[in-house]
Amino acid sequence: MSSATSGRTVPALQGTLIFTDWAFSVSATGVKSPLYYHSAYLATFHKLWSSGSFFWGSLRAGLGGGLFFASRGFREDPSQSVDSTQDLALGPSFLVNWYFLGPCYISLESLYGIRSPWSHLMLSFQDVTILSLGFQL
Amino acid sequence: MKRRSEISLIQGMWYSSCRLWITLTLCSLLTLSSPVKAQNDYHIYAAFGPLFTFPGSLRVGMNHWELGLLGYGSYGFDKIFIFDHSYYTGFGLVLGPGTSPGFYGSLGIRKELFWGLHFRGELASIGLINGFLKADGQVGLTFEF
Repeated sequence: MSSATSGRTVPALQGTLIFTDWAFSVSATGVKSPLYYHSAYLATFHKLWSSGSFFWGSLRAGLGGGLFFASRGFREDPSQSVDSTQDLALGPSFLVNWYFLGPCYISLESLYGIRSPWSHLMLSFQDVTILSLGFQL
Repeated sequence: MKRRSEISLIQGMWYSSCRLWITLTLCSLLTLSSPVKAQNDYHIYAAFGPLFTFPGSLRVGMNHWELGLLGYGSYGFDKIFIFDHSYYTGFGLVLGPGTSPGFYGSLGIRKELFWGLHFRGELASIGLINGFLKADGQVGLTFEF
């Protein structure tokens, strides 16, 4: 699930290429109806390290950066044309992977989009968060 | 007239507290090279959330485990993993808005100030299985005893 469609349980698909201590990940989610659509994409890279154990499973954390892009469109009537808008976010990101059952893991990944410095000093970010259930091959 | 002066007083206090936290953050970031001591047995953590809402987080902790409000109306427990002296990652299980279970993750910085008091700031994210996902920043103080 992605915060791009926050408030609704919309599935997201994520693929991650994990090297020894690096990970590159891409994910996509979206919805479409006769009146609106919303497509969101996220690409991130992280430097990984083993944090320790959390209950019976191990934990890996990562710090890096990412790029987010989303396109949205809406029309009040199917006969009208769609008004579209785009979102773009670029910034640092981190992830935490909990390997709770062998190669199965839960991943929580967040991108903090850079905006005005004043909003960041107020602890506010253009955030994109992905919660995923993964299986490492 | 009186009401206007009260509002300006509140605004003044607000800006003063913001300046204090910004100063503490910058001081901690500029003095990162000195390692922190090992964490004591018990600690309390109180933090501001986005737009300096309080409490953004309120936790009690023992060793590396913490319990309480982890962020965004989500209560639960987490374990912090300290690395590279002053930094840590955290992971936990929460019960969030809508009584939905979920997960908490964080990346933070912890810096000793004085008398068991530590400055602490973290990027925290909450992911609930009902689709509520949010990431934000927190700054606060930890008192270890």
